[in-house]
Amino acid sequence: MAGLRAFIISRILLTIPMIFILLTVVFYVLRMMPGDPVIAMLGEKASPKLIEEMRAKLGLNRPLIYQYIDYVIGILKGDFGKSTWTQRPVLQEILDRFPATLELAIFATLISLGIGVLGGALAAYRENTVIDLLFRIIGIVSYSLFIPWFGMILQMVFSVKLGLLPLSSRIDPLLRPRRITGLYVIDSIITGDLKALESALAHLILPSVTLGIVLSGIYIRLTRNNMIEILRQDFIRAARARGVGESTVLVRHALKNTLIPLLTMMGLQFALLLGGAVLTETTFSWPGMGTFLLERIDYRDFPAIQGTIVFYGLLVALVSLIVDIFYAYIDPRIRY
Amino acid sequence: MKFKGALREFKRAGLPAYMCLAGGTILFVIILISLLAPFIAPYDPISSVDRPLLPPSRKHLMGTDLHGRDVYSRIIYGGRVVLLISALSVAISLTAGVPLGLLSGYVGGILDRVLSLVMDSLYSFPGIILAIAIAAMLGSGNLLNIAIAIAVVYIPMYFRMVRGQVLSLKESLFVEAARAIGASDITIMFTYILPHILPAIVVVLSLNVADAILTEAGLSFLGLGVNPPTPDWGFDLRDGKRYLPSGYWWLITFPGLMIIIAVIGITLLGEGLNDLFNPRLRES
Amino acid sequence: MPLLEIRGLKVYYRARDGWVKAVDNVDLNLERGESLGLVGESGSGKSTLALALMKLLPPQARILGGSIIFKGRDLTRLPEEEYRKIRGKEISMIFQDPMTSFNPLMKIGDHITEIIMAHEKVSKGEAWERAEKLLETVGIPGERARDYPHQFSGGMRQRAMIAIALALNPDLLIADEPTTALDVIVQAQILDLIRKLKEKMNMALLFISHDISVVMEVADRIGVMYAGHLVELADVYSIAEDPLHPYTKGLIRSIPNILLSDQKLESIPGSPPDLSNPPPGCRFHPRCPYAMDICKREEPPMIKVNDRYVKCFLYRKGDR
Repeated sequence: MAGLRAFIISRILLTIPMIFILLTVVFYVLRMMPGDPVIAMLGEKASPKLIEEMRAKLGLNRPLIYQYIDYVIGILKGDFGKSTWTQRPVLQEILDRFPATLELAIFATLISLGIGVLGGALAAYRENTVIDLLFRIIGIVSYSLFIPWFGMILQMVFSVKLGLLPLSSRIDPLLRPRRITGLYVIDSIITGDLKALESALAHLILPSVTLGIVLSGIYIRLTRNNMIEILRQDFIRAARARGVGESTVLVRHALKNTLIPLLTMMGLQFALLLGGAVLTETTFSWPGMGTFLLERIDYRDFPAIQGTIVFYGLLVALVSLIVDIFYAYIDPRIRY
Repeated sequence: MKFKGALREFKRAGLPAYMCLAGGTILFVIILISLLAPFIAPYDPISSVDRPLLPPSRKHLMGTDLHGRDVYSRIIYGGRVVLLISALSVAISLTAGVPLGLLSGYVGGILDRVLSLVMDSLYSFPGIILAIAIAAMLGSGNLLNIAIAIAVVYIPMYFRMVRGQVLSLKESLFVEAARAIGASDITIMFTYILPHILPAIVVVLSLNVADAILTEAGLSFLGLGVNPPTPDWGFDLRDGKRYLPSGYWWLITFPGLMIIIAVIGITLLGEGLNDLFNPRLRES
Repeated sequence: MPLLEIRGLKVYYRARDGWVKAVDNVDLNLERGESLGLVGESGSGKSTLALALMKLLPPQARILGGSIIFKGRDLTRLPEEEYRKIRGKEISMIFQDPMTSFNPLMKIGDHITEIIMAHEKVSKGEAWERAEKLLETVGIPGERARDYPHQFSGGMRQRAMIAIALALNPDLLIADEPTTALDVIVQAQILDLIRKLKEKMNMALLFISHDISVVMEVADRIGVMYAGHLVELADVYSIAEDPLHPYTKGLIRSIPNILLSDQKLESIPGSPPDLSNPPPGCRFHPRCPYAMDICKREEPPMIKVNDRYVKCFLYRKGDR
């Protein structure tokens, strides 16, 4: 297992400079933004003296390099600074919003994987038939769907016209479950709050279907291409030659071998997931990190903007790392 | 006679050729419409020409928006902005990404390590969030700024692809031969290696344009793109969103459809080209 | 009754403009416990024949005629579910490339338990025990069953493949170029193993190779295939000492003989024909040094000479 340990260590070591670069770039680049956070906070009519006082209080009048060093040290300690808008710790504010994005992301991924893997596998198994063509078309079209538009169409049909599902937001505010993880579905299950569960799920349907369908296209393509290659391999024929049932051949031999390279792709697709989530959150007024970021951009809340971007970077790096490690663990060719 | 030969070649290529044809046609039509906008659009897209929020009718094929502007005319003019910004951003990404990739791959060493690290960090970061951050900092409204915001996201894609190709071609025979006859490094990079990479670049390019259109629409939808009253498909979606619960469906359906058609067209073209350039081995 | 009777088998591949006649009207018999070698160049149809026997042809291939009678049943008329029961249990096949014939994610032992459990109702534990024993019979320590394919050497993998194929004591083993991907020493070991196991289990063997010298080491009888046709069928000694068909003569002549110091290596001039458009008459006539007029016009029938068969006009009644 020595190979695995070395692999993990080298991956972690690689991630650190990447985060660092991201941090630095974000810090300096953000300072170039037009607009002054203090003015945004106090209003345009505030007296220059008050503005100066506030700047000093927030430490914004020191040379940039000192601010930068302080910031980096802070991050290392887990302190992302204080929001210039709400005065609350930025990390806390981000973590308040994170579960909403996470929940959306999880359900969307389930949907996109479900459609993607099943559709792609079917298309590969029935290569060059109508089904194959159909799923290839779905694959191309789904990724071209502009998320806000697709979401709004679904809203129009299922919420406005048919009244079946709620239009936006995460849950009926009166039904919010007790907060344990911040994930409404889990929390309502744990607390046995059925009404909350129902409301949470109902609100989840449209946004996760929107994001899920749009992202499924990539998985359809990937699964299909991988599986076609796998089905051409000798060991598939060898398995059939052993009298193994066709469904076993497909699942245990073909699908398993297809899913492993797919796993590495999932790490990369996570970034797409997060990006798509921002548009989805805006369309459905979903109180996640995406809407948080846009809100703070409006308020010129540098610490919050910075913190969110760094947080996104950390998330992507972490997920990438986990996926890579998991992959190295699962593939026996690497493990042994 | 040449035409018949070309036609046969086309039919032999099969599906990818038809994809290119379909995609190319869509793209061509959109470009044409955008160019001829002043001549085809029945109304001025930025001034109010009628009562607001009128449903589609013979007078207004796609209805009017909340300011009383003709949606159909806005759609026609909208293509201009979208295409312009996308083309601009792709041009920037190309001009920055390709030479950097060439240089990094060819020269190697510290330069390569550093550049690769920076590019990898950018590449793994969610694209649209990066674009949001840059657009926010540059300020909205200015077309060039928007293009830059989008461009930065895709530079790493070109960089990585070109660098990868350069690395694999660096040691090949024809490069050695070029060195043997005394060709300078710059000459080798641009006149020997680059032509070999062109097909791959073209494929990435089409993917890039498709993505750029979606990103531009996204930025405008979020309010970080074009400013009113510029006609833009993404921006019109933002406006239309407010009236969604009241059932004014024509405000969002048409702009959104245009975005999708444009993206599908370019994706088809790109996929077709990809299949043509990298044919996968077929069974006998 | 012979174990296997192939009558008039036609297997064609669908090409863009017509059919590739990979196996064209082949008759062949195989008795229980007999070992038949099938020799031919690539493209001669020998592998296609083998795949047809297992009904593992790729989707563009079709059995367009003829019958395959195995233990009294016509396999060409068998539904897929019945065929599945035969594969691995009554007819087994081993392939050329041992590396790619294993699922890289499954342990070697799992491959064996898979075939056992696909045909018999046993527990995983029992199957695993049998798997370990089977590996022992092919010369691999039983505990290696826990390893993954990439941890085995080429020769070991081929042995493991044999263990898998023989797990359920099939009546017929089809070996398609089993030694081609191996080096000479390992090749000899594998051939030895196959011979021994065949004797022990009284199994019929269909051994396919393009290398006639390898085939001669295992086979009782040899069938020579050329361009989709079976052109000669005889016992191995007759083939070696007195080949009849001009193509067989060419094959025998091309075997290097270590005892002849000044031997010029001979090969057969020309190349195999395009099977979507084979030459008229005898398919070998463009390369045949004895070609006559009739060879260019008519396809020669299979002619019985003593106990042997040749598909050649040279041996028309009265000509020998």
